[in-house]
Amino acid sequence: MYGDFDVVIGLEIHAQLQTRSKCFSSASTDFAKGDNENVTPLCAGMPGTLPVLNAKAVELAIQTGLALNCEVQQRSVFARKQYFYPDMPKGYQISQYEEPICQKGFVDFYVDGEKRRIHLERAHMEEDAGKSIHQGEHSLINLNRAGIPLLEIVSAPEIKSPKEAAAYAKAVRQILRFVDVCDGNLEEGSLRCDCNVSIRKKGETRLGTKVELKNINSFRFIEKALEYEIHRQIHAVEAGEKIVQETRLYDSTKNKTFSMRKKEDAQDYRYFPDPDLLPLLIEDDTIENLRQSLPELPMQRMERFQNNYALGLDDAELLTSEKELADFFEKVASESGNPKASANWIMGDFLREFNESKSSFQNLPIKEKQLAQLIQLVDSKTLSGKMAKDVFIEMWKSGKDPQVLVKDLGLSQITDEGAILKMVQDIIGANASKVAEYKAGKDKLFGFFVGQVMKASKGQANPELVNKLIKEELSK
Amino acid sequence: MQIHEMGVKATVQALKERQLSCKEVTEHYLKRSEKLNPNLNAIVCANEDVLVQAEALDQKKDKDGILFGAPIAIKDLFCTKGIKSTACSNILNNFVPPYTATCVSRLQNEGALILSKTNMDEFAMGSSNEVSLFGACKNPWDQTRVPGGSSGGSAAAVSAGLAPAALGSDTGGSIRQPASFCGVVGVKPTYGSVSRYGMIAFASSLDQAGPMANSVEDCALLLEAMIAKDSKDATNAPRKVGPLINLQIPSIKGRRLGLPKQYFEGELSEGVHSAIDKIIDLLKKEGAELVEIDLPHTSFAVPVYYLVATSEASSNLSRYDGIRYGLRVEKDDEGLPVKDLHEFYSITRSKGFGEEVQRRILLGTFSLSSGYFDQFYLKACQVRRKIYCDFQEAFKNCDALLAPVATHTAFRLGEKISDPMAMYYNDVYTTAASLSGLPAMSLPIGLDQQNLPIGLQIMSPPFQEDKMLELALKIEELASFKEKPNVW
Amino acid sequence: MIDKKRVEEVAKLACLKITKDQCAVLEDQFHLILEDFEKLNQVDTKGVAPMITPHEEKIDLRRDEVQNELSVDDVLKNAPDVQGHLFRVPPVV
Repeated sequence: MYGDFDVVIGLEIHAQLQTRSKCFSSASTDFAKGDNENVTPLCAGMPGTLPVLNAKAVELAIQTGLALNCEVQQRSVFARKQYFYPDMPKGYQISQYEEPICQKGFVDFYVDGEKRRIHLERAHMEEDAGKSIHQGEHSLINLNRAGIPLLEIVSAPEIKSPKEAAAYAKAVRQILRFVDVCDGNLEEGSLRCDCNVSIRKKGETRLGTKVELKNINSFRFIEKALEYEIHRQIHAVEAGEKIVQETRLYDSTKNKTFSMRKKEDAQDYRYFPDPDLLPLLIEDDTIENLRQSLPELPMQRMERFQNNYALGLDDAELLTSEKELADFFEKVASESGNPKASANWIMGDFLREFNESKSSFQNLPIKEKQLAQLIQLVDSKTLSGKMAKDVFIEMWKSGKDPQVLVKDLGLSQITDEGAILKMVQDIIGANASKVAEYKAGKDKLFGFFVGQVMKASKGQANPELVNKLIKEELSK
Repeated sequence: MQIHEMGVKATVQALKERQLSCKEVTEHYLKRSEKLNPNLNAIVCANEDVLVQAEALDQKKDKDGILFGAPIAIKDLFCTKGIKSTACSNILNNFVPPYTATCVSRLQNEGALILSKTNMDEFAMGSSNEVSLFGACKNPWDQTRVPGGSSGGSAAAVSAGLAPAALGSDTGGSIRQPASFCGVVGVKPTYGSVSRYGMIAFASSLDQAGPMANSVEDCALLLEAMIAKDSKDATNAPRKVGPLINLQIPSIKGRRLGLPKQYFEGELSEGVHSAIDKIIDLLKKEGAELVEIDLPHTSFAVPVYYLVATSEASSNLSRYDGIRYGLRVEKDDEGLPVKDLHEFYSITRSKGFGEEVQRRILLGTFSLSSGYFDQFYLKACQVRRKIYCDFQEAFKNCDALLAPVATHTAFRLGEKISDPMAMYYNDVYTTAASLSGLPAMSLPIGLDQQNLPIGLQIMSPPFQEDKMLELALKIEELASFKEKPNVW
Repeated sequence: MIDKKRVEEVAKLACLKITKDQCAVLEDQFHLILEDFEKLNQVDTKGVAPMITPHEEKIDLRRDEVQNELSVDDVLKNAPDVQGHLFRVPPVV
């Protein structure tokens, strides 16, 4: 893919854990609050204040670790990562260093129909920094975000391409959303992704000098930023330059990365165990209980969908891309008794309307039961496929039950053979010249007769019967 | 008897029985301060509202609380809502906290009044109370001498009768050594028994708040109010110690008391040594069994302490950056605006922190820095455990340890200020108990030939403050130390 | 172990501005202090777990409850410089 070079990528994903209050203080995590409204004395780093760990944050970190197949540690230690920055009110960030809450782990996912496994080195808890707003003459500091709990998920450096990197990141996001620990919103920053990338000549076993890419806020940009960066590095190496260890920022408008700081200006963070926080000890029972409470994870669910509902890989993948979508599908499938049709409806008309109207599962205009009823109306031949599509659009608009709409619109399908035959005969009688052309070999005209009959029936005639009867009548 | 001779317990009693009013008591102490503080410099900031608060208490029907109406002096290390709290540092010279330290609120909940804020070494970093934003505090026994530190202002205030009791903090001896130098009782509780919330941090794994007063009984009363579980301090333990009010003087017949031999070697002065020997004899006469105890790692306590304390301090003091509160300096010495963020931080911090604080921040930063961490910080933490284990062994053989608090009595102002090493080794007898989290206290037992008070240190197993204070009551009775400084 | 350069590096890390004279004094003092502190090497600490804090009990956790401890006014009251409800600082970059 890259000529003589192999690519080595590792990702550090920062996931905001969905708690009501911050990691070490009782300040709210509500995004909607005004500037510096979610600030306690601790968040402002005021003298004498002390951190007290949020039990929910620990629970969410454990659940995430388990969902990522990590070894959750019975003992982990919070450490101070020390550097000065205006949005770091204490002059240090409380993080975990030598003893993180989760070790090892792996994530399975598919890239181009092939299963891949990326290993994790660790996942550790830490607090977020505040926000700096740069305004030329001054910078302004908002501490609402300072202290929000994060889990940093660190992959092994074993991702081989930008595409795989994006797929891995998506898979992690999907898991976080399934477990309901993080909303995974890259634009709003509740999920952030730093990419470490290096290149090396094929056959070389040592890792090349790594460059860290920051500031990437969509999956598409992960791919593009890495692609740009890999080519930049290859060009540099081929031109005889040395890659320097540095942090680069991705500018999506220019599709370029540019240097933020070199390794030599890198800080000595002087990590040491935070004496304000004793070691976090987690009992086996707690871990086991949380393991029991985990929902079915996307990979298992996808495989079950393939097996139980005879869905193809792509369909199963799409239907399990979001937990709510998968839940929706399963309810429709079980209520309608027709998984295949349910899958088709959801992947087609449903998602089209869903995306166009920018809906969410919290305020869906139609219920699972209603879509299941619509599918049953088709299966019982009350509605044709075409009619059902029209009904669906009406359902989406009005939220009414399909039966009600069928009645309101006078849409129920005509399945009475005699009635349809009458219409067919009328059409044939009124179009003698077309009949002659058809009989002379112009087969294409068959569609014309079907269309005329459907029109005459206002689309309500059962299409299969229409087809059958036209064929019979024309062959007479 | 004058009000300041009554002590906390008798004062509270008199207030509850309406023999005195809170206003009278408070006014008495304010008047004494007005007269004596200009020389002593023990008090750095008054509570402007204290008389109003005293009058409000006088109006109350229910005179509840074990400290009802007692005006208490608070070391300026504790945050007090609405009252400037500076840690005697220029970097916090205008800081008015919007919250109160938990242990101060606990005193208030028992009816105590905040009388004033007391002088201290900047950020509690010192053993002489000479390095303070407000200037040196003086020893009431001899105003050419230091009161000890860092809680020098609290010790001097209690010793001179400017307050019936005071709150201090002890990181490596900061309650015990000034208590000893000023002839008052000072108690450092077990690490984790009193909440640290709202106490401006010096070294998180060592800092403990504690009471200072003119009697063991008064210290016990304050401690009773202070020890309780606080959900705002994750290192705060549930209360394990028994009730501390109405402690009785125990019989010490057959009690095993330890004398750690390393504490009686080397530089210990003749005066201090003989005063302690006198007490030992009295204890023996009462039937106590005095046993020699070996604490083999004692001589390492000072280096371990200074590495641990400065490492933690270097981190705890990183928050002082001129952004959200405190001093901000945006121009350099030539009056030119700072050129970048680093310069902004550096100028602000260098103008804000005094020399000793900067020295300790630098030492701690060095000890945590890459390449030195294992050799200094980590090694110190390992030796810390050895020191802790020495005590664990020792308490298998005795109930409590008796030792000097300091090698000498109060030294002269300026005597050690330019020699950091000499200053650090002031803490030679107090740091080991701090590192091990033990409760320890200083009790006045006599005067040396220069008429300066001598303190005896009692160290106990963790969470045995009740037993320690009972023993102290007994020794207080035996020592019968009644002397007061001239200003009394 | 410690020289002027190291003192300067440490001062930079700690965000403290020290003059040349101060640096020289500090170098001497640190030299003395650290030389004394080297006696810790006499203690065999092989396999000894570092003691970070005296009571090594289980950490207390907090329930995930929101409490409004401070009004914005109180948050900003002590700040040297503010703009609206934000802290104002010299330019960061």
